Amino acid sequence: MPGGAPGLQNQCGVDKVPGGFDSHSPPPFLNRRQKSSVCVLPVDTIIKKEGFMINKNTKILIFGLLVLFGAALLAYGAFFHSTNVSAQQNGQPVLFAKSESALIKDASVSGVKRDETGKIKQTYEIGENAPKACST
Amino acid sequence: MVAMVDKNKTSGFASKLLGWRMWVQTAFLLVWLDPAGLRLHTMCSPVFHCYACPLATFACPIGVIAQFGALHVFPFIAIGLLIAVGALFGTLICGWACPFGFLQDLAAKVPTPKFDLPKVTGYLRYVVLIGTVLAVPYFFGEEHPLFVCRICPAGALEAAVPTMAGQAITGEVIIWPSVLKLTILVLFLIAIFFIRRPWCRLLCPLGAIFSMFNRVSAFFLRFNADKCTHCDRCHKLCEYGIEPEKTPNDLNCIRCLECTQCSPDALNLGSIFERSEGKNDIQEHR
Repeated sequence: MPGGAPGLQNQCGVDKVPGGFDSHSPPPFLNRRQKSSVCVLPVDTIIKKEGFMINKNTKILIFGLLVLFGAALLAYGAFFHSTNVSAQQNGQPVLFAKSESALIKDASVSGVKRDETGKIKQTYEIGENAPKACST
Repeated sequence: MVAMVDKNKTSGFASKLLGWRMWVQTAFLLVWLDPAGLRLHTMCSPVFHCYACPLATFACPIGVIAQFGALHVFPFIAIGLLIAVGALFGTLICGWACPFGFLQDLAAKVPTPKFDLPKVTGYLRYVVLIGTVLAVPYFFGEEHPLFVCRICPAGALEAAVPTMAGQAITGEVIIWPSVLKLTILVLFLIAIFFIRRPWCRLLCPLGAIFSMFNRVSAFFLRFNADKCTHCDRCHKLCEYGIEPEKTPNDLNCIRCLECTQCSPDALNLGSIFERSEGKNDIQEHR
């Protein structure tokens, strides 16, 4: 074959071309360090650094699931979740259910504490005003 | 063509808004500072703003998670809100809506020498999140000195300082916060003039939560490799030491979107609500 076997010039295999002679110039010689800086495409770098690649549909699915999950937690907390809290009323202990919204408000001013037995106690009597500020 | 027009809407709007970022932050500040005196402390906000502040519309989500941890009650509202908002915006909240981030941005305008932080320090935020927001409150309660609210500089600056000032003015006995909290506040006040957003980059547990959504959030940073000329201008535009063309949705990115000003337009804000994508944007969804 004229010109020798395919791949003779650049020694790394080429497409067969009519005439059997590869007229492409050989690639420049690069040492390992140069190869690592030149031959890596940006997309490869990103995949390597960020670890995984997500296509648009997968991303929409993950986003939808997360928003639904977040909204479900939010709705459950806002409308259904309550916690048993013990408090004092006229010197007598009273146990009542406090909604999560009310618990957030009380927690933000140190109005509720957990005692040694694991019960949640209101730090002020029913009918009294909650503390004005957080103890921290 | 329709797809291309839609595709450019998000990035076009973001680039128009970029010059107004400070004003957007100011507008959000008005929401968080409760100008109408609503005191909606039964609900959390998605930003870092202490609920003990005399001017706080909503409760702080980190404070609520920690307080509920101390009570051994699962905070459905706070966690649900952070997941929903995180999935939508990721750290766009940090760059555009957070009042504590805004304060640090304002301090960074002072012309002092700025020092950069090693990238690895960003992982400290996860240590703070797991340690002081989850583990310490759950196992030791809110009395522990490392309970997040007891060391939080936002709490010290926004709540303790105004409260102490009020006590001094009215002649009441001044209740001082712990030495540790005051020390952290002083260090923070010094650091904000020499490091850009030191709290957000080093210790913010809320930023740590939102950063985990960066790769899957509805709004994300899109990189187009074909348009990139490797001029490295985005490296200079990014004030947080991130290389946006390599990691457009980096955990440490606060989505200030400054890097989208690169002239070849290789970086821009994208969203999953766009109807189609260009053939060259193969890396946008990561």
